[in-house]
Amino acid sequence: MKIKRLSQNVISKIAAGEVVTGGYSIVKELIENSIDAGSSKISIEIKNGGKEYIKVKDNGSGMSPDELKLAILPHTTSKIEKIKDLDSISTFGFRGEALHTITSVCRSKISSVEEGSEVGLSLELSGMNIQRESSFSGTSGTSIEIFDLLFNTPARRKFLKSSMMEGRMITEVVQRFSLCYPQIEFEYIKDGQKVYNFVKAVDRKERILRIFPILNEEDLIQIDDFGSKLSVKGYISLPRTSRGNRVGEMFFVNNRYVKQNSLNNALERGYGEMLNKGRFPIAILMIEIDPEQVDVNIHPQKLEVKFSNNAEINEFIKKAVRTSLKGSGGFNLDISHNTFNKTISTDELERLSDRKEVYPEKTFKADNSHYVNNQKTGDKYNGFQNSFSSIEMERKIFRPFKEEKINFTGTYDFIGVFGERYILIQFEKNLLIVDQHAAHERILYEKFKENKTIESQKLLLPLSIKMEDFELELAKDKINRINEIGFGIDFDKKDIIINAIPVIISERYTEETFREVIEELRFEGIEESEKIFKNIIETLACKNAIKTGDVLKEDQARELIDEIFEKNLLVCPHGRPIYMKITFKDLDRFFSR
Amino acid sequence: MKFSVEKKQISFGMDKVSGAVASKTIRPILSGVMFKNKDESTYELISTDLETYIKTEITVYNSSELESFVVEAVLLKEIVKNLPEDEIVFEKDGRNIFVKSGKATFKLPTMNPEEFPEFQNTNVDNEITFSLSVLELMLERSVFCANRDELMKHLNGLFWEYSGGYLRLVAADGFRMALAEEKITKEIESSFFLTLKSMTELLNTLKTSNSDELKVNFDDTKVSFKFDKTTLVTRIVDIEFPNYKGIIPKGFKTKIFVNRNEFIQSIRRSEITARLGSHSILMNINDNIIKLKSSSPEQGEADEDIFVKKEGEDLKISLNPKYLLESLRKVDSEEVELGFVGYNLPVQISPIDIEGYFYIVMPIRLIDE
Ligand SMILES: Nc1ncnc2c1ncn2[C@@H]1O[C@H](COP(=O)(O)OP(=O)(O)OP(=O)(O)O)[C@@H](O)[C@H]1O
Ligand SMILES: [Mg+2]
Repeated sequence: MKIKRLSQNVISKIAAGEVVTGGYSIVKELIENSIDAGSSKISIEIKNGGKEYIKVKDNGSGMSPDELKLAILPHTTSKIEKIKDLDSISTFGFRGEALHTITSVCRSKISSVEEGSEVGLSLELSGMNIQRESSFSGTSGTSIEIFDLLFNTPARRKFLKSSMMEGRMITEVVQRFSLCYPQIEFEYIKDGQKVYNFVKAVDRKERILRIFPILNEEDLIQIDDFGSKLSVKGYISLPRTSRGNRVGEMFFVNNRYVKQNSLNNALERGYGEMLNKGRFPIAILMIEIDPEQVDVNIHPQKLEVKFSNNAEINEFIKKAVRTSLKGSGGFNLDISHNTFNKTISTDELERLSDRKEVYPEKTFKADNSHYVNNQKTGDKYNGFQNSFSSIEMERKIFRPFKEEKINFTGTYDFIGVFGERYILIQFEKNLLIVDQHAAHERILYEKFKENKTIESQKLLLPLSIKMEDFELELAKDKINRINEIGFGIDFDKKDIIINAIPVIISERYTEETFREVIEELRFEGIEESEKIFKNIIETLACKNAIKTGDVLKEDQARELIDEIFEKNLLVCPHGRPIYMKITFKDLDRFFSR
Repeated sequence: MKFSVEKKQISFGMDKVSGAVASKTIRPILSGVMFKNKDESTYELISTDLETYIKTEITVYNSSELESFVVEAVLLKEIVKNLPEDEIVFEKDGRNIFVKSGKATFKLPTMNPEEFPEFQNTNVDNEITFSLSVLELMLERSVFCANRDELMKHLNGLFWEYSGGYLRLVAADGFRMALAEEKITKEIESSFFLTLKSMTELLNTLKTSNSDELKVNFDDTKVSFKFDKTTLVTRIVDIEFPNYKGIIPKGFKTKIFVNRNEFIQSIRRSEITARLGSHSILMNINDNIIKLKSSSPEQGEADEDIFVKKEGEDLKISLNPKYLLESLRKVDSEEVELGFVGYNLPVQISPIDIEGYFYIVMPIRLIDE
């Protein structure tokens, strides 16, 4: 398809967004263009954190001289034409905006040779003005050089971070693409030093080992699991190799890098107790999902995606991780298949591999018939179910209660605390089982949310913690945010001295919580501030809530329930339910009365 | 083997040692109490959780062929309490021991006394004699500030410091600190840290005493407390207690003197709104009035004026009512003194006219105006 200007009609349908927020966003846009152009080799070079120089060169299909001149104009693209095309985008680009926006805020040089031709055009631009054009001969491909980032918008240039931070963010962009596309050669040069030189490969393992030097080959476990709606592939680290931050947790949904807390959570729940508090795995997970099930939200800066069924996907990932860790290495899908009667028809088999067990909501629709339904499923898929633990079975059975909202008015009878985990109460004619951690987490979350500023308690004994250089830089950069969240910090060479903490967090988790906050703040600027703030208070709530296994006295348990009633809370901040309801009817049915 | 013992004797004995009986243990022997045969008319009762050891003595009579044995502590304590008669007879037959009183007989299995850990005594002479009730008071005044979190090892206990003719007890969590001190007669310069758990056991055991004389001794690894015929020995925790002296203000910019009860009442009223909303009470000290203010987004505000005596500058400071109240409640003078250094700096709370203890509370941060 040739590059054309989009019609006004189409333009109005495309969400406008800021494309250039820093060197990393330029590198991201340019690499995406190179991948869209079918390149098999991409070289990236930066100097001084990209502030001074950025170059992205590829061997893709290139542009003819006329096309090149068009490409730098606003709303020109070869990737879509009509509004309808927006529904079936298979490329990264589609707005026809990136090149235009990038070239308008820097001095640049673009050279391109179209596939099949030997002569190309080279344009030197200053802002939008063409300063020089020249022909040259070469092989097909495009090279874009950026000098003096944001030179003509000093106000924005001021907002760039230190060269070290900017450089690091660009490195992360390059790492992500390299991990996502092992079949593409990547070369990355930073301040004259060759950081990466990745040759074409079938598998991404080599690259993971290069990018995370703390990993040994034996530390990596492969994951390759699929269901009817999604598949998860990639590598995760054995629990013995972990890090103090989440930088090593990466998720790609249909080849796009996403940053989504629920995925991090699912992954970490997969590890469960195998990882110590405050330690995080390295995990590169490629999630493929039917595009209809996911809203990629192609807004340039948004890294979040919306799944039509978040809970299912999280559960799937958690299980995939768990089984891989248990088997430490093997593919795990077959475990459930092995329990089948071998005479099962292919037809049946296909239906079974739907892995219905992780989609409980779909299995039981109506509240009053779910036992019956389950009975049925139980008969049919007997072998299947035996391979699940009883806990999963229970969750499966009771999940449908989720839709029902209880109106908490009136009083309840306190029954007790079960297994240092669940609070049992009788309410109206129902038995309610309340998850103590989820409930408390939600209460804390609400408290943080209500008080727009988080109060900060000064510490008697300031706590000194060691952080990596980039984290120190980030903390300096985000000092105002850190204060708003309720932490007070000073710097002492390589250490951060925490001298005040948010009022409701407990001292024990000071360091852990602070590290998580820094981790979240890394994404500010890429993600919206409100979103980051929400994530942070989620983290504060989760870290500081009563844990499963903490012993609750009766009055503490009652206090918790009272608050849940008062505020009418149903789910924890991550969307997991706080309680489960069992009615007399349910019980009678179970006992066949 | 057979002996008789008065119900009161053994019941008191069991009370004294039960503090150190290990509750959750993988070594069953530690859930027992050791009856160590000392002479014809004396048994030593010993319990330990390997951190703290308690030993006391009971007198027995009608004894024959006494030997040592170990029996489950909680069970025995319960049985002894509920026996009908004043005389209790113990009789051992093989591995079992029969406990008889009146018409009631209990048969209890015993554990091997050889497996029971050796009682650890202090073996250097740093002994001082102290008033038991004074130490009890010092403990009451300090221990509540210790961090309750067992994972915060370096603060989950009490710091003991002998220095300059004083014994000083210091406890702190992340936000506040308590210090209680008393003159001693011996010149000892030393310090050590004991766990909160052992200090709670000590307090409980001290309360069972009939006399006021207490002997405290320590060596490199343990501390012992002796009173009546009871000895409690506990292990020193090998941690470095933070430099608490650096926290104590050297001087004050503002001082207020206020009636303790009135102050407590006012804070409690303000705390109602504080509890629902923020965690702080704003104190605005202006001449001879403190304005207390607390607010919550939904429940509104509470304002209250208190008249005080003030020295020094006016000041605005925000404090957590919970910490303030806990300290004020421990002060036993009618008037209290609060010393301030600045709005983001420690506050010192002390009684008036009573020497020897004070509290330090860190404020809630106020952003510069
Ligand atoms: N590296 C490249 N190789 C070949 N063609 C390119 C390259 N970079 C850009 N182009 C062409 O220039 C056009 C404009 O690029 P630009 O990045 O501005 O828009 P886009 O990729 O279509 O959409 P978006 O703004 O969403 O990135 C592209 O549609 C493509 O045809
Ligand atoms: Mg593009």
